[in-house]
Parts: sequence; C-alpha cells; structure tokens
Amino acid sequence: MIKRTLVRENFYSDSVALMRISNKVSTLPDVEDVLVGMATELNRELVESLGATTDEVRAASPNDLIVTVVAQNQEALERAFEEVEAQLTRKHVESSDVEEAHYDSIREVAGLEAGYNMAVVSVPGAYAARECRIALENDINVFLFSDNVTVDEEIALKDLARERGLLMMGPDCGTALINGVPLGFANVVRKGPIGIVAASGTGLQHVTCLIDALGSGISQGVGVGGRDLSSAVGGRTMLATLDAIGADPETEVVIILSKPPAPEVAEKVLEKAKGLGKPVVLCLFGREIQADLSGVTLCSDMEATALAAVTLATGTEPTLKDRWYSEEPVEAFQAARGAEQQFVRGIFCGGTVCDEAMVTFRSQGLSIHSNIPLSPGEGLADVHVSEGNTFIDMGDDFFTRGKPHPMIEPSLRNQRIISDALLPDTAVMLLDVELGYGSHPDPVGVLLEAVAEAKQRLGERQVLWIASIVGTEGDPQGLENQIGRLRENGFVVSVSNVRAARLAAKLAKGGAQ
Amino acid sequence: MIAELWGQPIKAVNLGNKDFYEDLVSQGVEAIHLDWKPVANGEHALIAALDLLDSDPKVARANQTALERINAAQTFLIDIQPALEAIPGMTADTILHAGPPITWERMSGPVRGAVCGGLIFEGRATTYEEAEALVLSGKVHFSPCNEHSAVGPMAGVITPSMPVFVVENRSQGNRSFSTLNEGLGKVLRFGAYGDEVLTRLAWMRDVLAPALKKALAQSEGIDIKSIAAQALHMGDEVHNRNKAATSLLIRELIPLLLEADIPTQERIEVVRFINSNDHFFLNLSMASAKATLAAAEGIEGCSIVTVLCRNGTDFGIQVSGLPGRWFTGPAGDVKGLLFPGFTEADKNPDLGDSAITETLGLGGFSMAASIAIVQFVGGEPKDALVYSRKMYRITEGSSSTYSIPMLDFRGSPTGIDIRKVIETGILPQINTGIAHREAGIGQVGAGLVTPPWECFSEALLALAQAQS
Repeated sequence: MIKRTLVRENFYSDSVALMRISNKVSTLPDVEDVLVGMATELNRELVESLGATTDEVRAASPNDLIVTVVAQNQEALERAFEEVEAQLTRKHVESSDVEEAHYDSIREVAGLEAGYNMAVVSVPGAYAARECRIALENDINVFLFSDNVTVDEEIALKDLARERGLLMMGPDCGTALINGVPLGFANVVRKGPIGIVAASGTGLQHVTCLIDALGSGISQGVGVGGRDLSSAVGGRTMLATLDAIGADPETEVVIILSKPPAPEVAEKVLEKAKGLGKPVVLCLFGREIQADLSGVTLCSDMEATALAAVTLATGTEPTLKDRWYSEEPVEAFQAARGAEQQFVRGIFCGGTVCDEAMVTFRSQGLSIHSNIPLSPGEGLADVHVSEGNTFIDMGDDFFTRGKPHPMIEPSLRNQRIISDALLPDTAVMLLDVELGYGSHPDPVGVLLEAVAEAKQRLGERQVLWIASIVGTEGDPQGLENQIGRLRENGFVVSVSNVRAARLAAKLAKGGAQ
Repeated sequence: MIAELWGQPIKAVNLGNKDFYEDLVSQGVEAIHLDWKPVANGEHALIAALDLLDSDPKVARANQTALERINAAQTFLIDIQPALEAIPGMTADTILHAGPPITWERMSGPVRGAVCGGLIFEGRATTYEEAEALVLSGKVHFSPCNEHSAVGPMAGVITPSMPVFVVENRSQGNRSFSTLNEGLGKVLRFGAYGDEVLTRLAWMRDVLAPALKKALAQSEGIDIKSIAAQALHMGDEVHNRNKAATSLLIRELIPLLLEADIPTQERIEVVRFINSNDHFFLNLSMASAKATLAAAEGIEGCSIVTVLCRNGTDFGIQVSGLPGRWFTGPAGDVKGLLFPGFTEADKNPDLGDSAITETLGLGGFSMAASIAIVQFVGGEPKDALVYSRKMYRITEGSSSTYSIPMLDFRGSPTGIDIRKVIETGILPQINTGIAHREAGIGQVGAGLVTPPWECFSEALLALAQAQS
C-alpha cells in the first residue's frame, strides 16, 4: 500500500463538491482511500487515521486543501492525484470563462439594490452563526441548513431575528417553502391554503408532498430547526412564525409538525395554536397531550396530518390511493421466506421518516433498536450492527461527520443496505427515497446499485424490499420514472411512509400476519 | 415583521453548498452564490477580535476620520535640506534604514552594503571593513526611516549629510522626508559602495541638491499629489513605473531651474541627470505618501494601516490606532521576472519603504492604471484589473484625487483596514523591485509580493485588546 498527502494552501472549496471528487476518484482501480477536504480538525484527524499525515497537514488551516490518496501501487496513486487535479481545475476553467459578477460576502450582497431577502446558509457550523448574524443585521432572513451551531448562538440569532422582525430558520433546518420557493431539500408542490411550521425536515417534505397528492397546496412551509422546541431554545422561531402565519391571509389551515417537544414548550405552542383563529393540525408523532385541545386536531402520523389538513381546508374528506402498491412481491416473498427471516431492517436517509416508522412499530407492540432511539432501552450495542427490528438514520451526525447528508449522497447508505440484506435473520428491507430539490439527481439509481449487489449475493434467498417515497410529480428527478424502476426491481412502493412501515410491521416476527 | 415576507419575491444569497443555488436558479429564482471561505483563515481568536471591533462604533468613526484626513492631504515639495538639519531625531551618529527596526546581525546583504557605503560617504570609514568595525563598536545608531517621518527605497539608508526632499502636507502641516533617487545600476540603495557610487552621492550633495534648492526657492512648492494623480492617467502607478510622473516633474522644474541662479554647466548636468532616470519621481511619490498617511496616525480605535515596509529581513506594518507599534513577520519572496543572467538564488527577500505607495492605494493597488507595468512584473493586462478590484475589498474607501481610468475613473482603493484583510484573507498587493542578495550588484528584477499574514493577525488581536 502506498500513501501520499499533499496540502494546497488557500484553496477553499465547499465540502460537498470535495466529497464528490473523493467519491469519484476512489472508484479508480487499485485506489483504496481518497480524502479531498479542507484541513479542518476533523479532516486532519482522518488523514492521521489513514496513517498519511505530515507536518504540513498538522500546520494547515481550514482554508487549506488536503489531498490524501492510499493506493495499491504507484501507478494508481499517480492516476488518482491526476484525476483530483483534473477535477479541481475543471471547476476553475468553467468559472473563469464566464464574466459574471462575483461576491464573497453577505455585506456586499446586502449593498445591492436588488433587495436580497433570504440567506441560504450551509457553510461549516463553526462559521455559520457569524454569517447569519451579518445577514440579520442587514435585514436578510435566514435559512440555516448547517448543524454544529451552539445553543447559545442559536438563541442569540433567534433573539436578533425577533428584534428585527426577521425569519430565522434553523440551525439544522433542512427544508422550507417560502412564497412557493423551495429552499434546501424541498419538493415542487402546488400553492394552496395550508401553512406548515415544522421542526422536522423530511417531515415537512413528506406532509407537503402528501397534501399535493391530495390535490391541495401549501401557502408557506417554514422549518424552525431540530432544536427549536427544546427547553433551551423555547420554540422561539416556532412561536414567532405562528404569529406571522396567523397573519397570512393566504393561509387557512395551519399544521404544526414536530418530534415530541419539551413539555413546557409544547404547552406554549399549543396555547399559541389555539389563539390563531385558524384551524390547526398538530402532529407530535404519537405523543399524547393532556390538555384542552379545543380547535386543535391532534394526529399521530404524517399521512393522517395531511388528510386532516386537506379536509379542514376543502371541507371534504379526500382519500389517498395506494396507487403504486402491488401484492405480488409480498406473496412471492412469503412463499420463499425462510424460518429464520424474522426482522425488519430500516435504513433511512430522512430522520423523521425513520422516527415515524419506529413509532408505527412501537404502536403495534414490536420491539425496536435504533441509532436514534426514542427511549434509552431501544439503542444498539454497536450502531454498525443491526439486531432485531433495526432502524438506522444514516443522516445522524455519527454517520455524516465530514460527509454530505445521505439525501445528497445516498451511496453512503449502500454498504449498510447490502450488509443488512445479507443478514440471515433479515426478512424486510425498509427504505426511503427522497426526491426534490437538494436531493441526489437519481436516488433510485443509486439505491438499485446496492439492491443489485445484495440480490446477487443473496442468491436463492429472498428478502422483501419496501420503499416509501417523498416526492411529487413536479420534482426534477421524475416521480413516475423513479417509482417505475423501483417496481421493476421487485419493490413494494407505498404512497406514504406510515403505510410502508405498517406493511413492514405486519411482516415482522410477532407482527399481525 | 416576518409577515411582511409573505408575498415578497424571494431573492436569495447562497453560501455553502452550490447545489442549493443551482436549484434556485433552475426555478427562476433570483439568486447569488457567494464565493465563500471561512473568514480569518478559520481562526477563532481572530473571528472573536473581528466581532469585537466590528461591533464598536468608535472603530468605524475612527476609520472614517482616517480616510477623510488621507483624502484631504495636500502634499508639496518645498525644499531640500541635509538630513541632519531636516529630519527630527536625526543625529551625527544615526543611520536611518528601510523597514522595521533591525540589528546589524540580522541585516541582509544590500542593507549592510548601503550602511557601510553611507559611513564611507560620511567620512567615518574608508573601507567596508572599517565601516563594519565601526558598527560593531556600537558607535552607530540604527533607526527605521518611518520612525522619523522619512522613507527610503530599497535599503533606504539616510546618513546625516545626505540631502533630503522636504514634503509638506498643507492640510495638517506635517512634513516628510526622503533621499533623492540615484538612478539604476550600481547605487547605494541596492548596497553598492564603490567609487562610482560615492562620487555620484557627492555630486548629488554638492551640485544637484543646491541647484534644486535654488529652483524650489523660486516657487510656492511643487504639488506632488497633483503630479501623481495626473501620472496615474498616463500609465504610471508611481511605484514601479514613474516615467510619466518624472516627465511632469521636469516640466515643473525646468522654468524654475532656468530662473534660478545656477552655473550653466551645473544646470545642464542637473537636467541631464533627472532626465536620464525614469524613477526620479519615486522618492517624491514615497515622501508624499508618507506625509499623507502620517496625518492619519494615532487615531484611537482606528484599524487603518499607516505603514507597510520591509528591511530585507522583516516585513513591518503600523496601524493608526496603535501608534508607534510594529507588527512584523518574515519578508517575502518577490515573485516576478528576473533580468537576464540572474536566477532565483540571487534574489534578496522583500526590501524597502516604497510599499508606502501601496499603503496609500497607489503602486500595486493601482495596477489597473498602469497596464504597461504588468509585463514587467510578469502578468497579463487583465491581471492588473483583477489586482486593483480586489484591493477595494480591503480598503475603507477610495481616493478623492487619485483615480483609475480603466475602472470608470473610480478613486484608487484607499485606507487598508486590517479588519478587512483578516476577514477576507486578502493581503495587500505590492508591486516592487527585487534587489540582489549581495551588496552592490543592484536590481535583478521586479515582481509582486504580499506581506506576511501574521503582521495583520497580530495587529488585529492587539487592536481588539486595546479596544476591549
């Protein structure tokens, strides 16, 4: 094995672009490991762990680029470095060909007459708060995608936003739909009378997609960030947004969607909801609320939430057809099922869909294990090793340290899909596919690579593949094409995540078969 | 009110993942993708210092004041006097040099050569060895030109009996000083000290200086700022290219020289000398910049740079709000073109006080006005535009007098703000000559160089500490 590391000073590039280069170059023959990244503390440690660090690496700053290659032979090593160079420079040729205006800071943009009003921030968390503060100080609303922002910073930003009457979405906000414009990970949905405020990224996406499928639409979709409803942050953005949504003439029905919040915050949110003067649908994923719910409809899953909201908005109760479902793969699997195939393995890109699947299993009395346990007894001894019914959120920090989110780069879960499908006790593979802006251009294509390899290695043995889809007809990936290819490859495709989870639960050992 | 956002068209500025920008653009949303990188090289102590200084309204006011004073400057060449008479703090045992303070032990070749040449010129020694012995005996006092309102190109050596230009800034009443330019080739500022050099220095003291002094006595002073401003429109950046400015100066001087009572032969020699040296104006450009920037020194809280200079070993900067303090780092390697016959190994590290022109927004900052210089320092014409445009991002504002035709006559980038340097990671662009590392060989090329980062990072931390 040969290793080499080079440092290029002052060569900043976004981590997602660099990850793509790493991924691409690591597919070259005889190349074992490739790291192309900024010299952050994390990446320096990664180089160290590859046994390829140098004094230059130790002295490098986060604005310096590190390239490390581990290869089986000299030739492969050289080829890898050439390819990295080609990928890095290609970008430069492209950008210098075009004579376009060039901006480096929010202040410069704030000085323009055009009136920029939304900052979409996905820079590393350690630097994100400062950029957001500058945006807010310059009267620009913020959509903060980054995580690793401290609670203190979050509170300070949200207080500054309140002072200035601005919207501060995030940190760790994956999705929003403001005035019909999707920000971050978001789907193309119809405009309509339903406003959503959510402390859950894929949750907001899934509910808006279901509402679109039901023929209604969205006025505003606001993500508040995963930590907004904690005791420390106290629902600052949620409460401020509910006031604003209450004042929005286009919003007739309001949905509030969150993983179970801190109780005292839930109380405040509920009080605010009751005072909006508009019907409110509240989804806290099965969390019971011992309080007067007058005027507020409580739902326990996202499909029910979408149905309730559309019913309130249109006055008629719609039905959601399971239009892609087919019984054949289920029957074929049942016929071939081995006695040891007892458990469901859910490998998710989206955190909220993972949560919802777990809540569904729990409600049916099935035991579950997860890297993001709902309660302490439901953890995994080793998050890399599935046991019993296992639900893995591949978007959790543990897996994404130094890597893009699996919705951007779904190949990050392929290895886990293959190894879990091959476990002798696996009966069902439960998988999510997120379409829309921000997501990978062909998530099904990436998923099917793993499925093909798993099937080949499984040989005669069968597992049942179940997929839930978050997406709409309008999404750039093409909904029917993505679903068509899943079905051609033997997937059962459910129209909602909770239905996929219910089907999987039915097939798990101890489920209602 | 957040509710005001509903119904407004979204116009987005994206920083981080470029896909989010491309998604917005593909939907027809007006969006800008920032070419973002971590501020302050990602160093958290510096970011904290930036936040502190950015939130202090006193700093913003101080910088505005500095820019106003810089723009208000009116610099006139009024006289020529011996250094001992003119320069405050000059003594018979003092030798001034370029850059921040330095000891003999750490001096580079050309500076040592110039020091010894200066001592021979003063009659304190007859050989290099004698001069060195005198220095080592401790009888010579070294001091940076910049600590005496003076500036000198390259080695920047000023000895007591050398004649110096006296430039007055009439808006603040302060004065600055610089030597007279000797020309190219074997000259003291590159460390040469042979007979040819000493003979020329003596002639400059005995003929050139008295003649120019008499000429100046015929005038109310020569407006140096105005000449520099015109020269910018004629292809000079008044650091590395001074052809136009020298010509304009000659136009001013000729009538005065003709009117003054100067023996004809001397008058001919004086005019020939000035006319043969494209860089004659350089020392005036520097003195004028010094007189301008000195007026902005010592404003409390001010983060504007007032000195950029090098002694061939260290680069040093001074900041208005921290008067008298030096922030130094190793002098850089100048990247550019070498004259035929020289190699990289011949280059001395960055040297001279001439970066005072960049401190004022001329030189490398005004490259866009001097496309002709680009080839000399090894680049393409469009590079000149890029360099100048970039410098606006680290300056408080622009000049009200110096303007750049190619940039739609925009004022040159003025008032280097250490906060902006640290925030953007953009270092001031200096356009400079390269000295041979051995004494007395002369200029070996020209090119571009930037100051070391630590000059600015340490100054920023010190200013934040002073303000907290």
